[in-house]
Amino acid sequence: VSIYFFHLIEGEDLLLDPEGTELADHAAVARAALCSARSIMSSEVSAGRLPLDMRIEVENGDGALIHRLPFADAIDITPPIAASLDRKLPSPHPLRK
Amino acid sequence: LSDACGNIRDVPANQDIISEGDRPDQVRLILDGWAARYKVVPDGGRQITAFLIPGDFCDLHVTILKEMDHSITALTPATVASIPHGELEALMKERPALARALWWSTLVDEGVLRAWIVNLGRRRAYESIAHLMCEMHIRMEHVGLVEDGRFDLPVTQEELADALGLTPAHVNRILQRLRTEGLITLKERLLTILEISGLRRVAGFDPNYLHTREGSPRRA
Repeated sequence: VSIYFFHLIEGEDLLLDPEGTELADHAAVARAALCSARSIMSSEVSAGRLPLDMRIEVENGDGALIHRLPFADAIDITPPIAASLDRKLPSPHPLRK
Repeated sequence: LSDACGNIRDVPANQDIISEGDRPDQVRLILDGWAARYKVVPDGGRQITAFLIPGDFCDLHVTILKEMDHSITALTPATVASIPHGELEALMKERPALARALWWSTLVDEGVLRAWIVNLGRRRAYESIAHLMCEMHIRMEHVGLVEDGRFDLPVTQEELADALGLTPAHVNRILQRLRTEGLITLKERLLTILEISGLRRVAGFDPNYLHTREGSPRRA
């Protein structure tokens, strides 16, 4: 078990992790970073924003960068359907009588 | 009640005071330090369901049960008194005022649990941290541990995250926002509330569930 620091980079701003978290190995670090990115994004989405300009950078106890996760890599994004391809639902709607 | 606290022990930080599966043979009372009730979920994650501070009982009537369904851990070095249940029952019969105070404290514990459910179910992360701070402010004040709006919040970001269903990095980001907005400072685990009305507005905090105006002593 070693200590890892999960710093947040948001546009130009850097927010350092002052405490660190003890984790078993690199796989646990990657899982924790994914979990944090998704946690932050989901609460931002519930407030009506999706900040894809953020990333997490993880340092080990010696200050070496050992993992990097751009938020956009933490989710599958389904792009919106272009208006011209958006199929009109049959009218009247089949679920309505 | 202090006479009944015959068995007083010190528990180091991060050690269980009582663990899931243990037989609760005594009623425990936190005299000093912070503790937390928690459940561990199968993926190894932990949910903290309560913070316990000096003057809080770890379940007044728990000795009725055969085994603990959750664990209680010391978050800081803690001093814990154990009271045999028989002794507590005798005291409650002898002193109706004490019995009433203990019932009151049980009802407040349930109020706190309801507030935590609302926090987890209906508030966003930012509001839920603000709410927790407002609550701990009043509870710490009630036991004389607040000075000029400042009190010890001796928990890590990871422990705050475990209490609120978040992650440490998320908690860090929200604390930074509360600082930037001039509502709090938090340095070396010392929390200063700079603008209590602003913090309460963010949290949608109503202290009614803590029933502090009842005037019953939390420290019996």
